[in-house]
Amino acid sequence: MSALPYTVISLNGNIDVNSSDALRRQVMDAVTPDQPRIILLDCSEVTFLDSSGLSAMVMALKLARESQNQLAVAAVPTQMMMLFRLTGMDKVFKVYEDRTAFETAMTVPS
Amino acid sequence: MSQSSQPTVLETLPAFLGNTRSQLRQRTLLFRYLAIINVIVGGWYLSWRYTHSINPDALILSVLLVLAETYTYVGGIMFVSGLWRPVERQVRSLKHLTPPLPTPQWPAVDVFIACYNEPVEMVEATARAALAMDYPANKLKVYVLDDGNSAAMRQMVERLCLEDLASPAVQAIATQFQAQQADIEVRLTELTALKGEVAAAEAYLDDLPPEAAQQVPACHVATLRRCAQLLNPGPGSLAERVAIAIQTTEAERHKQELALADLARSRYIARPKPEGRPHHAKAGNINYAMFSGKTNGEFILTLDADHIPKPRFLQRVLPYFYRYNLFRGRYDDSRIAFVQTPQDFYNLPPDDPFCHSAHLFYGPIQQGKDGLNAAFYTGTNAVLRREALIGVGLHNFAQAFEKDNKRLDEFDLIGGMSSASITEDMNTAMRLHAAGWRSVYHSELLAVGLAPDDLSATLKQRLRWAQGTLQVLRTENPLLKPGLAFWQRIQYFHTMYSYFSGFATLVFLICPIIYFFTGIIPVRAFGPAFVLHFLPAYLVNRMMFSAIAWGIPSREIWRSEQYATALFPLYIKAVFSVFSSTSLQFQVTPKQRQAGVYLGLVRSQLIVAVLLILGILWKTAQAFMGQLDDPFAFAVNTGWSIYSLTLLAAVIRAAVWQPPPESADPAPSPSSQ
Repeated sequence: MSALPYTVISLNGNIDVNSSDALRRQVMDAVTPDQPRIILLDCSEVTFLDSSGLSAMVMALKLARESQNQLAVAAVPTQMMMLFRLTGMDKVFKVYEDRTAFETAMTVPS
Repeated sequence: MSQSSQPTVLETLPAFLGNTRSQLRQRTLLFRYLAIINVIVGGWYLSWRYTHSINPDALILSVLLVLAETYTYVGGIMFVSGLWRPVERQVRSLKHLTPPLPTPQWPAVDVFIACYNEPVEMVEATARAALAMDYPANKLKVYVLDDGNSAAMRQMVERLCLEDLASPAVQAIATQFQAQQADIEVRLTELTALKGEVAAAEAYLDDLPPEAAQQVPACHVATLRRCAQLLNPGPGSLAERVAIAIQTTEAERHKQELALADLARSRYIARPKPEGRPHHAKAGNINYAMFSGKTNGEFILTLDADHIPKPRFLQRVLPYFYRYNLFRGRYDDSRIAFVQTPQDFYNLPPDDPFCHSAHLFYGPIQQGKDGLNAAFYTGTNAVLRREALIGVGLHNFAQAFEKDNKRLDEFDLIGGMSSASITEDMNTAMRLHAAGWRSVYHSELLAVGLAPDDLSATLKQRLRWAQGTLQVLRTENPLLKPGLAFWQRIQYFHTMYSYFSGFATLVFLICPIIYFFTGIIPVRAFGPAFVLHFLPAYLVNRMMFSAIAWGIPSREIWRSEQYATALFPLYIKAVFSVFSSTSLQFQVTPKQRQAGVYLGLVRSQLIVAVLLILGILWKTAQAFMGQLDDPFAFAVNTGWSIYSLTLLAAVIRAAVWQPPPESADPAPSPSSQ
């Protein structure tokens, strides 16, 4: 995992039914089908996530996986983390404390 | 049907403050009284059967019969418990809510018409009726989810879309949007013009020497300068602020353009169905539409391809999803995940040979389930809350993912509606209930559809129901599933339990046959003691049933009784297929008559019927020859056999049934109330 190139996408505001299309497009643009890559969703600026937003995130994860890319999330705010736990998504997504933790994990070979 | 299908419309009761109210169904107390007697007398009969009437000379048969009777008795107790508290609901229509819910706050609704190779005209009639529902045009979208991916269907939807765009309702909204857009354009032009001038003006204000500002005309300039700073606090010059205003207005214009484009209300979705991967049938079709990013309504109305909704559908159903919070002075979301309405058919032959009328189910049974917060979602004629569906779907997906993370590949097919059973509707409702969501059964008829009118299709449908329900018992036993309340467990379990009835029926049918040809009886004696115990139990049971079925034509009740018995081979088959782990296919119920005679489908019933008739004849012949040893046993068995034959006759008749020659399907016009 450590050797892979990565792209960071910063999400902000409400991730809900209105923003889920944009989220999907952003991830689609970042995905590189020919080479493995990690896409990190930096959620530090997210104010609110609802179930539609969450399903859009799972769809993004599916898209990334389909082209052999990976998707991780970092800096998950409290409300978002609660929803993650409630729906069991904390086991579906790889969650990092924050961006630095992610970058450290990227540089230190595990 | 009588009172219960047309609840009082609350808007005609202005004195009543509030939007919903519910009361106990009429004659419930009579039913409860008879039910208690029934359970006691039935228990008394059964205990007599165990203690005094087992025939030691025919032990196996005796035990089988008493077990079959016990099965029926236990099922009866669960049935009675489900009817204990039937609820009749009344509701005020959305537009008459008190206090009113302003139209801009009404939720966006998606109509999902799931279809699979149904005729285009049929889907068109449904889509048209859905578009004609009484609801703001900018908040209603109709999606044809075509699992057959047919070009003709797509063309129909596109044609309907263009037609709909030209309709007065949509044009009115479009005009309104265009007027708003024109306002935005004007503002934008003014702002752009200002942009050029403001920088120079600002520079002039800033550069003005203080002594010049003290002069009389220029003191106004100083005031203006202070104004500009105070009224627009924040960083940046006036010019920058104008630039920001232009940006916001442009964004607004873009939003408005999108809203205008969004007025296309008739839409088509056909999912890709790659070879060699599970498609998850109807659940997959609906889930794909939910996760494709093409739909975003807060509520989803699911309709089968042939179910024509009445204009008032949404008006009558949506109010349940809101609750007026008196202390905050606004409407909050209720915890209701779905509202189910009845199913009825407009193509039923007069005497309903295939037993599709379900006023007992869409009457006391559903109302009873509603009273226990366990309303049954039947896949059509119901509105669901998207948030609930996705929330619960995600949770179940996460569990599936933990076991096998390859499931991610099919997230968009399994992440909402349950795909674990071929009766995805019932399984989904059970999961919603287990997650703490509530449900409502609203007993007003709001959509009518087509029933299959041949035996083959009818049997396919019944087999799917039986198999799907038993599948859920296997994978998610409601007695063990966390989150369900006690009575919800009993309700779901009873539905599954009742599909084992085929075995009991078989025993009840075989006993007289064995008697006719061997003389062996499964009880010690069919003497007066038997009559004394059996008759009261039977009569009380009948009386209780009449109390439940009050207002429903007795012919319909008789028909469902016939089918409950006569479908025994199908129920047995369902049990074996589910518990032997054969993979089950979702069989789409054909909506068009497949011509033909179907005696092959009722072979087992024919064999049993022939044996019963031969048995009666054989024993009668013996009687005439003076060889009858026990006339009482002969009378009881003959009576029972004739009763059984009348039950079996229903499916045999249905197998040879042909529609009257001139019958054309009288599709109701969507506006018929």
